[in-house]
Amino acid sequence: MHSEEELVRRAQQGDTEAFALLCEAHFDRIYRYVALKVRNRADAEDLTQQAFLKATEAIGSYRWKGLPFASWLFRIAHNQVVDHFRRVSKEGEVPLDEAITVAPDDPASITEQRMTVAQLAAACDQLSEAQREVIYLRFGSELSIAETAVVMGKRQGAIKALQHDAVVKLRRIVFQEDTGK
Amino acid sequence: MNRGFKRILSECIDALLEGESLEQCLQRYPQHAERLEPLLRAAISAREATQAIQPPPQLKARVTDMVQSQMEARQRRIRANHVSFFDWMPQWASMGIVAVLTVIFCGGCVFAASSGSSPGDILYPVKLAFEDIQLAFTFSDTGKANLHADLASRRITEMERMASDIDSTSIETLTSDLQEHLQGVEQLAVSIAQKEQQQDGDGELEQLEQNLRRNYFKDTDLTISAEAKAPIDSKDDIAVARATMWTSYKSVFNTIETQRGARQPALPTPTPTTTPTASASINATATPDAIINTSQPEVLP
Repeated sequence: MHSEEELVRRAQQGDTEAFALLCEAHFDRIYRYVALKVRNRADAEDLTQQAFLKATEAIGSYRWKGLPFASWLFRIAHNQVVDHFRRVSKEGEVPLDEAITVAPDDPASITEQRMTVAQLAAACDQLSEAQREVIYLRFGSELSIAETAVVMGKRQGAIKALQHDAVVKLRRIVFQEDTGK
Repeated sequence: MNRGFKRILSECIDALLEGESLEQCLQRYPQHAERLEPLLRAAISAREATQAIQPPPQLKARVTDMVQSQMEARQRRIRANHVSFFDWMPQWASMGIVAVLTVIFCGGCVFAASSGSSPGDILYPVKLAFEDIQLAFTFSDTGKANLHADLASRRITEMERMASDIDSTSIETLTSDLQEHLQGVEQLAVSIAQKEQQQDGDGELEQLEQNLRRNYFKDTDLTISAEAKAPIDSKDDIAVARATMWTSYKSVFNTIETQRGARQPALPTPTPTTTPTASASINATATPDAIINTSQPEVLP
């Protein structure tokens, strides 16, 4: 059992196995964050790969003091996404490619889950950019308030307020859609 | 009241993310249960929806392989450079050279070699390690605070030097390091002020402020120059870095001002006379804080 701090130190000294363990620990969360942002499987795969390769190059300059490793990694992924949107279209206007979701065994749950992701994506389009980012980081990537604050460059109190407003708005949007059907 | 509710909501969401049930959360705050329940249900739905997104298993394996290969290739390059140099020599000679090189290393040649390095260079971690050693061996609060201030400024010099080919990750790393150093200055400024008050001394805090003021003007010019040189994709990132730098400096100057105010009668507020973008017209007597207050653009999120 290794602490993350020890793994980071070993990775900085060139230990490939330690870096592989760090990738493994954060891979799914990074992919989910990127996929929610770009909403397209091919781009999500490409940008996740680029984020980890970038982290490999930059690991030497990472310093533990006060900055959680997850936040550092998510900043890299965030920057990759920002660069991507500079090259293509605007964030939030991209339709959801349902191929980003897994295909569970039960066909009934396929429909239910896919609808839910699509519903969430559509609802998130009606949130502000910062509110959407909080939803993706907190619920998609399960980052703590402190980690989310570092990734977004805001204070923890601001993140709590954004989270509250986002959840209230999300509930209102989803509820209205449900009753409208 | 509302602020308290936002904190409670956040706590409950944390608990849900860690596996607690909705009922357990609601039981902890019965007085807020009615308001909390629909929001927590929405949060649970959002989380469940996102969990349907999973990377294809082959992607994780492929990326892990690529990352490992890239790291191994880098290690091989470093080792190859070392081995090829000594290959043709007898073992005793190589050992002697290694010993001499070690002495030279300790004497600071590696530091000299690394001093011009930038993020992404092989020698950059050596430079950062040397800075940590310098900080560890600087024992006075004033010395340490001035060193932190100069190291913060060094990050901006590096940003300017590599501006024509800079990427967002390097800007991020440099800005974050600058913030850390300025936070260090801020903490030490409090302790310097307290010591001056106890010993009835004066001048060290002022010297520190003057040093910071010089760095502030120089760094502002450097970020402007960096933005001009940077590729179009990085210009916004450098503008954000400058805004973050201004905010950090402002926080330090505010702390120094507060500490001074705690032990002296209030000083008259100096009149700002210039803008940070025009270095040629900078009046050295204007406080950067005043300049920031009057002419700093809105800090970007």
